[in-house]
Amino acid sequence: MRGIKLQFSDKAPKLDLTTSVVDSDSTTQNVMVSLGTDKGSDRLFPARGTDLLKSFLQMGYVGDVEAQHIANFAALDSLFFYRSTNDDITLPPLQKIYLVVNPVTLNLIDVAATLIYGPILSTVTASL
Amino acid sequence: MATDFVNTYFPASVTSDQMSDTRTRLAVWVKDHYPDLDYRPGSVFGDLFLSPASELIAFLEAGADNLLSDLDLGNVANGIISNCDFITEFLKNFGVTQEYLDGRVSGMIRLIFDQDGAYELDRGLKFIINATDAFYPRLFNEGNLNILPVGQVATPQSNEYVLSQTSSTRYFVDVPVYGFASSDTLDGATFALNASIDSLVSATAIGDFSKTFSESTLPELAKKARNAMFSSSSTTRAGLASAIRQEFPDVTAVSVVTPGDFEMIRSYENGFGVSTPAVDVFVKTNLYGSRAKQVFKINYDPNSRKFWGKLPFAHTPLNVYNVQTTNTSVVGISNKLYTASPKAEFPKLTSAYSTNADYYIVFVMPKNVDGTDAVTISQNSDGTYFQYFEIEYYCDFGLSTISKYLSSSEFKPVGVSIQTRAYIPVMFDQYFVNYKRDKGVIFDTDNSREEIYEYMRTCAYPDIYSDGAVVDSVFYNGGKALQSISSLAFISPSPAQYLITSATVFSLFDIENGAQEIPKYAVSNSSQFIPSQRDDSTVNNQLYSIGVRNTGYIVESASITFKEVV
Repeated sequence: MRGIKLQFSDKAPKLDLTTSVVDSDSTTQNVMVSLGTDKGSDRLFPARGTDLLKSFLQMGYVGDVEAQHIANFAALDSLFFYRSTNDDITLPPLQKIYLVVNPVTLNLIDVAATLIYGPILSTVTASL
Repeated sequence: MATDFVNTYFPASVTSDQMSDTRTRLAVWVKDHYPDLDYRPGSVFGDLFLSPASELIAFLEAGADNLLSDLDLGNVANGIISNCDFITEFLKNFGVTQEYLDGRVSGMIRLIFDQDGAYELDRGLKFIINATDAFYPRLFNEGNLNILPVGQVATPQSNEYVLSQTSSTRYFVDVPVYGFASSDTLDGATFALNASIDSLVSATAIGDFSKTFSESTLPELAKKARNAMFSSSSTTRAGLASAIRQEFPDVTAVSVVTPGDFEMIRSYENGFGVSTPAVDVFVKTNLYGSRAKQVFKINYDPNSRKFWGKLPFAHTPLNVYNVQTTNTSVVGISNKLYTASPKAEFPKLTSAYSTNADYYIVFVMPKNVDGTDAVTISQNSDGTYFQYFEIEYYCDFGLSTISKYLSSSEFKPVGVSIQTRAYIPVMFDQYFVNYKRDKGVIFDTDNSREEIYEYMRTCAYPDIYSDGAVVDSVFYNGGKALQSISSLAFISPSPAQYLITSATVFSLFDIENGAQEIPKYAVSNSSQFIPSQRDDSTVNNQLYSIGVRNTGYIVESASITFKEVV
């Protein structure tokens, strides 16, 4: 599977038309997009998205334990959604997602995600 | 300009399920054509192209469904329409145009003359009403409209109509007409003519005229177009019924009886097992059960002191209601009606309730209470005696027109014996509705009576009688329950009481000698409203068959009585 790369390093994701992502990297990128998507905002996929941004940016920061709690739920939502929509059996199966969220400002959070595809480990950081 | 597909056919919205389903199908297509491309949710291609495209295509698919729905006249007939302009144009392919249908009207005009005789009327003769509305004779054969003197017989497959009498000095003929009208033409309306006709006294409408297509909405037009497309020919049972309904909008029921049906008795199988091709078409128009009055000149035999004679009915009789002198000095004259079928093609009672049967009446001289003759007789120039009598009878004014149409040279199927008949009527003297009612609840008997009357009037195969309609009427007008329907009624294979067995009829003796009594079957409750009677036995062999396909009902509104059961 091949897709266009998204740069998550800035305040908002940007298209990088010169670079492509393949296979598990492409999956990781898709998962990151789902993490940043508000739950219920996609009419075609009502189960898509998480409450991550809503929880942090609208409700405010509530402490490290609570932040990890929210991140864990977001990781689970994304994992389940991925499994329900992925139909490419040639790709290594996504088994787990670990998420660490660091609020930077009231409008920005940093997300460090680790995705485990069997022996493959994919790590990515993004500002959402 | 191209059709505005978006604003014409796109629905207001599509559901998430529809869009999701479309995306799934598109994804399969993408995967098939570009197996390396990541189209999953979250991918750039998936989110920025495939999902929006799925929504657009979901709308396109729904729009295409709407377009296809407009092409399906079944949907249009049910009022599901996306593009009225398109459908209006589309229906023109079937010869159905709104402008044409809006004004096309058919009906019957009674021409009254003050002289008996032969008249030839141009087929372009125009009957004018409301200054601008014009009607023309509805002739099914070539040539002009020929009116023959009283007592003559019209030639088959011709435009000949025979005069009848309304009094000793007035002669009438009922002529079917068609035309284009801007307003309703009601029973009794008077027409002017565009030509002068000798001895013509008046031209008036018989019954309300029917618009060929009474509704002009697109769904109604679509229904008519569907009927036309279904089949409009005399080659199949359904096609024949469809053709009649198209041509005669005032027809409320058509039943085509063919060999193999219980009701068909004219056909039989030959030695090779092949049925003779015969078709009986039972029709019922809006005017079924109407009463007609006609005056007949009837012979008097001084030896037997009996009046007797042939009755050339202007319309096929369904039942004789009353016989009286023209001055009403004697009414309700007790009589015997005889029938004969002069055509070998329609033997015995197979011609009953059609234009192919002949009728004769016999009754004894009515007496005053003091024993003197109640009727004064007149003498012909040849020394024989006669008197005029007025006979009122039930009929269907529309039957003769349809009969002429089906037997016309243009329509008549080749090699098939076709006959038009009225539905055999169950004649009701009384129709009892026995119902229950809760205390304090008002039961609207007037409304229920009208509903039941209308139901019985129009009820006929293929919409056969059901107690359900009466149950509904009773319930929705305040009754608690219908307990039963009973009746004083009968059905008979012929409106006559006797079948003449003589080969020819020239005298009273020919009528009475050997005549067979025709049975009357009592109908005493609703379980008998669909009778089943047949006689092709070797004993009487009167050749009749009454069944579900040819039974109709004649009940007067005033004869419907409600009886509350406690």
